[in-house]
Amino acid sequence: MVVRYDSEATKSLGFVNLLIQEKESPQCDVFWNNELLGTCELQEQRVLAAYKGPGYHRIPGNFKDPEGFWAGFAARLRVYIVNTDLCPADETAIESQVAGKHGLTRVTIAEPLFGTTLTQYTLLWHEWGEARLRDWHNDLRKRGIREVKGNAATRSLVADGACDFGFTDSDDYFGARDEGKPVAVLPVRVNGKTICIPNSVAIIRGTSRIENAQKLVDYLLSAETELRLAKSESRQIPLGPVDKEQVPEELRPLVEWGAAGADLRPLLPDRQAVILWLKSEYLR
Amino acid sequence: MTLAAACGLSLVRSLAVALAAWPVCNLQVAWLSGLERRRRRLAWLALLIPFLCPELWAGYAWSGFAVRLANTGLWSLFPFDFFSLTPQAVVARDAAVDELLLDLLLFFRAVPVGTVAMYFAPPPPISREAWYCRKLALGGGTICGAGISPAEGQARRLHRNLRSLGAWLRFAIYGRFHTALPAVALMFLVAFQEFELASLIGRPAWTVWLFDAQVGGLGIAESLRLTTLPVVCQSIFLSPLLWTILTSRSNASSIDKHTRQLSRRMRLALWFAMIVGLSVTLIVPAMLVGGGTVEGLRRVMRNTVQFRMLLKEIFVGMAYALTAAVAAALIAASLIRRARTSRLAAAGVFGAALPGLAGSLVLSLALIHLLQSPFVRFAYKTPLSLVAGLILFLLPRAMALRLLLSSTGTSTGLHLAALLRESGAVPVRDRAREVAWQLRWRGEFWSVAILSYWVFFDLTLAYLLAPVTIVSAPVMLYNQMHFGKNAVLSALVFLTVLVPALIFTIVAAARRFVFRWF
Repeated sequence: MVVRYDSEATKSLGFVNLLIQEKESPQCDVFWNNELLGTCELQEQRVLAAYKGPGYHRIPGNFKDPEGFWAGFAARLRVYIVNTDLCPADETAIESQVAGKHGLTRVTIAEPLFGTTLTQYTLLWHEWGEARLRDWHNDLRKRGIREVKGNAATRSLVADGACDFGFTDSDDYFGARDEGKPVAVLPVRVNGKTICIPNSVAIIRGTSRIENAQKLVDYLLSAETELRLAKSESRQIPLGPVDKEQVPEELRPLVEWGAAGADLRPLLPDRQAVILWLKSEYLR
Repeated sequence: MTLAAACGLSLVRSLAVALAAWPVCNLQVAWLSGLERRRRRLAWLALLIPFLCPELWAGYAWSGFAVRLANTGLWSLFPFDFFSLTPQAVVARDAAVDELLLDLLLFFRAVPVGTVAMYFAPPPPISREAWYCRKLALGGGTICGAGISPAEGQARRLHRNLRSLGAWLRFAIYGRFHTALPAVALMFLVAFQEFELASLIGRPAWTVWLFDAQVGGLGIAESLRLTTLPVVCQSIFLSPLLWTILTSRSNASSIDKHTRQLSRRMRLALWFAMIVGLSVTLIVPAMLVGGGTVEGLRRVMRNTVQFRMLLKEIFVGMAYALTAAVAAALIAASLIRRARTSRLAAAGVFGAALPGLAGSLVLSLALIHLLQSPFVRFAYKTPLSLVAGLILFLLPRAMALRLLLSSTGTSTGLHLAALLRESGAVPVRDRAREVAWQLRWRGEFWSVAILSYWVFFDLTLAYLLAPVTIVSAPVMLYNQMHFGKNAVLSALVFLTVLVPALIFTIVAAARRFVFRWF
């Protein structure tokens, strides 16, 4: 098996665009994406083939495509990473600080044009509507929130004490925690729902190795894989049924938060609108 | 920010960096020429390190610098609450700090390139003696005499002044600025095409803008249309320079080169600048990122699979980079040789340089698009597509370096070396080979080494065009940065920089054995 990895550096033009470009002569058999909306876009571009194997059936309905074009597994949460030396890890206090009137020069977020911050913005657009999101975004910028290029930079600024807290993903939090940094994690909620972003896997339409592709998809969607990812450094949240005793203790609160995750599947139409708006904001 | 604004900012930044670096390069060249051989080697090493350190590493280490600086309480030391600002003003202040940092890093990356360019440049066609003669010729004389009215005298004076200005410009271009202009152009290119540093430090640049614009997919036609502006910017800057050099003939003797004596204070200042350069590009990033380099090295060595894979990635990456560098150097040499005799070929030089000037992102996307067409699809994601991309990316750089090396100034020496090689005495023949190396091949060798290094660390080309089985060293490094594995990352950077540098040094040192075969 030859694995071709996407890179953090090329995420915006990464595999999704490449697979669309390669549609007529596909080079890959299986696409394993660490988020969802890019995969949904591939489905819309008719790059994917449907498959409902044993792995597909063990995943809850709100994390898979009803027609079997893709299935989600092992999720990350959108979270606040909090430096506990500088700021108490209190969800209400942090949310009121974000919603308040004071300066946010000690709070950080990644530029929303990319990755999971884009997913967060898309959900906000879906739940709040365009006008409220625009106001919120402009307010954050006006109050001096530190916009950086990616979640890794957000994690570093908070972990190193340059910022009190920031928006990032749960795997980044665990990275900082494993390095012994004074950090805590709290879920980001939108209208009471958390943002639980699963890995997604799909078979590329036109692959010549369909049987092997199906085997790989079944393996990735298995309880064994979900548990391995739960125990990995990124501590990803199992979505299907697994032996709860084997889930690492520090991950268990996140499993509960993840269960309250918003359904991300209807977000695809909003995603294009959000990108268009953000491009007009950042790339006028 | 619009593309035009980002491009304008990149242009101003790059020009400022190149112009600020120029006098420093000038001094470095004089200083290096005056050093004794062993100390000169050490100085070259110290000088080149800022350029050889991967931008990814320095950018990663310095990212978020202004925010971290603000956290140190530095600004509160200023009296009268001078820096108690509104949140937006705080962000603007920190943006200015980051901009200064980026400029500084670009400056120290540009200086080695400019110094190499000026050091190996041929002497100008117009010598210092010619300058002096011109000065003497223009030194005296007033326009007066019988039959010349004051108005006519004024008109003649104006005419003479204009002719004098034109002559001065010609003398300057072919004389005093002849070695400086290519160096400034190269340094401008280095700064203008920068992507990773600007992106990681969070400052606007046309490369960053274009990268961000790809979000949600951007058609190749649109990407190419957007690239027109930066390509035009670079072409406008480089065309007169290219024309100047292509139409020039160097006849001056080499005694005109590097004869300036530097004061002790100046030499100390240069040492100081070099130490600052080493600090911002190597020592401070090493302290910030690689507190555990030794531990990281131990971990990498212990994991034999990872270590073997890393070495494989480095060697494969170097093989591609070297192949592309040699090919680009040969193509550039051939094109420029023809361009000296044919205007059509001179236009071809511009044409061949354009894809590389578009930057690695647009070049890669254009190649991917091209390789989707039925007749060339066989080359998609093969070594061929990667090498083609690397060569196109390197061509303008190879041409600039070629222009520096291709002129005369060493032909007499080379002829004498060739005569000496016919000698019956072995030591004389060995000496002749060494002289030939110094005069002819050393520059070529190190220009290929620089080109290889330049392309070895390019992330975008390697990522988008490499065959599926290859994960190049920079892609791997970037992924490590994402996961923040500092100790291992530092060790990997150390090895990735060191191994290619060692290879080139060993090959350069082994030249004596190689030359015996010729």
